[in-house]
Amino acid sequence: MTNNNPAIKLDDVAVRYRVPHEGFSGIKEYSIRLLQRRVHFEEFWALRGVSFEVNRGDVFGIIGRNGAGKSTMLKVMARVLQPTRGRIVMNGHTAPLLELGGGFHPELTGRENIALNMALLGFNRREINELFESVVEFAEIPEFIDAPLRTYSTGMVARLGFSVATCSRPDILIVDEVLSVGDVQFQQKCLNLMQTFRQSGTTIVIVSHDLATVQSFCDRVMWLDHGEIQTIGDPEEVIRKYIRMESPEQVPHLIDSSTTDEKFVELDPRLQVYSTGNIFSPEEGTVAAWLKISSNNRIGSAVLFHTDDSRYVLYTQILIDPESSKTYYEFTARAGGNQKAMIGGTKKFPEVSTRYIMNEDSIDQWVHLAMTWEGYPKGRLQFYLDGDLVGEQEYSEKCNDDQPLPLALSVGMRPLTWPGERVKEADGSFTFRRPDSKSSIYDTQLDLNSVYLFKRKLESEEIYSFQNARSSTSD
Amino acid sequence: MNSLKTQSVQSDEFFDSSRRPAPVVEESLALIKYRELVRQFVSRSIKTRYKRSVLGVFWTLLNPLLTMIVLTIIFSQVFRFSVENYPVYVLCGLVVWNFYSNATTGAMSDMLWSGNLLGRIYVPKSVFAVSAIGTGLINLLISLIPVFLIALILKVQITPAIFVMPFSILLLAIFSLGFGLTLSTAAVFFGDMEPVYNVLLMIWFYATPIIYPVDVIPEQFHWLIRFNPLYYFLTIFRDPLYNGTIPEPVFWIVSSVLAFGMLAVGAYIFTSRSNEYAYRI
Repeated sequence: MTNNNPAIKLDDVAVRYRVPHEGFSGIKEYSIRLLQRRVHFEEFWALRGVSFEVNRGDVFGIIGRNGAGKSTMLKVMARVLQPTRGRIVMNGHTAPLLELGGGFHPELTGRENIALNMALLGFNRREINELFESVVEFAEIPEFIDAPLRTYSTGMVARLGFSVATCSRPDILIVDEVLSVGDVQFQQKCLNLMQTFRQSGTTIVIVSHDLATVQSFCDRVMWLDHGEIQTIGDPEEVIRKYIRMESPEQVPHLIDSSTTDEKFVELDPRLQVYSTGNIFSPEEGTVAAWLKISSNNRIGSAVLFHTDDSRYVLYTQILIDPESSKTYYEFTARAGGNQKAMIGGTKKFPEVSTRYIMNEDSIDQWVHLAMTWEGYPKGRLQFYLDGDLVGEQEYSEKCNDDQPLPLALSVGMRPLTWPGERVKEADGSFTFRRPDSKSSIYDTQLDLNSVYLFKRKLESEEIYSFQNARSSTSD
Repeated sequence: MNSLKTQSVQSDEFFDSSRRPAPVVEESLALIKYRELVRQFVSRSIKTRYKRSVLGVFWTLLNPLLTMIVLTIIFSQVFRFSVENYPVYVLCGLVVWNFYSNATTGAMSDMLWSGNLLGRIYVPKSVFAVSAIGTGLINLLISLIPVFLIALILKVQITPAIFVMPFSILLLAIFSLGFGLTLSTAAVFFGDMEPVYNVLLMIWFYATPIIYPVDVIPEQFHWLIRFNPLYYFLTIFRDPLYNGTIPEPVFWIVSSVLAFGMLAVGAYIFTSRSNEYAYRI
């Protein structure tokens, strides 16, 4: 157990599920089938001989599509599942970052629930007593500690759950999609905590569909597919291969923002979050994208482009006109932040919208959207549909609080790592809030393609010719 | 705010799937490590059972008492058995039966209901069976109070023979644990184990001389009783209190063999098969 040993070592690990062929579940059925000699199992290998090592203190990401074996892998590491074959070595105390309050009981007091759940994590009585005060303190509930849990608010239960789950630093932390549950505060808390653990030397294994988080957080990434390792190594490289394989029709242009000095960059909506770096300027620029009009889009809204301060936003809503009962797309571009958006404010945003009414001809057509801006904090935004200028909007500061300039932008959805809108509270303080809807282009089944971000503001003719040039080659 | 986060568990934990002890040994060691969880489970079920009910702990006392009163009326008035101090006789039987049926059912269902949890974190799965037995033992001790109370009221002769009762209870608990482990394993494989066992329990209840004396069974069927393991545990529990006598050694021998045999079988089956549980949740 020296420090030179890898924290995790898997050697030819395979897991086989045996699924009863005809799905019997009871004694009666089983006996009947047994008599008829009809008990057949279907074998399914969730992992097929996986070998790798994770170094101490590394953050190790596992990506792959659904059913690729990611969760099975974590279960094997957490000792929940015995591998059918192979060897696994976990060098240190292993703990999962659990969802909140899985083992909580409403009739027990906070105190009793803490003790019960810590015992579930394998702590003995002495350890529970030692850590107890800090758990209570971290959950911020000292005055309610002896009240039954059913009297707690949802937020208090969540805080308590998190506090218990993280009451001591494990040698190996296992994180399964925890970042996709809970609200943004919780996600932020998880990220902060993982950062703290990481700095103190914890090895972290994380499974996530959020490629941006994986890329920014992990030291190494493994791509699993059909229970086998496809690639393992440098996050950016593995993710690029993964995306290329998952969507062969489009090879995205991954941006290393520190070195980009091109006139424009192509963004991949699947990657979602970019740091603005030197690919974006609040002073001037152009966003252009192709969007497919489809009859099976769900009614709802989706963000196509978004800066983290909500200053520049391009979004679409699919609506039904109450009079003609026709479905239409409403495309909107915004020139100004939206401090009041979250709390149902009355201020109208500096936005410009245009409608695209669907008819039979428009199905499966690609439309080209473009948004240009210049001259922060004074200046104007222009909005183009299929190369035609459809609206202009003066830049407005009326909805801005004194926000800093954007540091990140996202394409295709509001990213998980985005803390939310910065909202000025009644007492003058600022908090971050996220809208209830996390709608993405995927939720609405919108097809967004070839998003370009130009460093400067294009003129109408340039947009028109660019749109035509692209659309003639892309078909 | 994160001062506590840098504290680490004093850990020399090391898991190597190729160097594991025998399953029974591994499970026992894990059970010792998770003993606090067993304690917590027991105290949780005791507390939640009594916390919000007005009568609180009296329910445990009241329940067998009411059953006893009903049974006493039925059997003395309708069937006209003549059993001396019938209330004490039947209470002793009910205490043993309640312990046995609750503990074994609990061992099985607690584990099934924790499936969600077991799919995400490692917990030695035998904690559920052990906790169910522990909970049962505490409830049994509480329900001994009304038994002794009634015995005193009815002027049953209490003799020093009652001092062997802890051993009777211990053997019963060991047998129940072994059986509970076996049941839990079966329940993993068969989804309808719970209802099936409930029916089985009902038959078993009437096949055991709990509410009736052994001699109401016709002579030629007495051999049948000897195949009922609960008969032996019932006898070594009831005789010291009800008759004031220590049962014959043969009862102790059979009970001990049954108890430890069942535990060995249950532990073996459970530890060798319970891992498959994770594949089914």
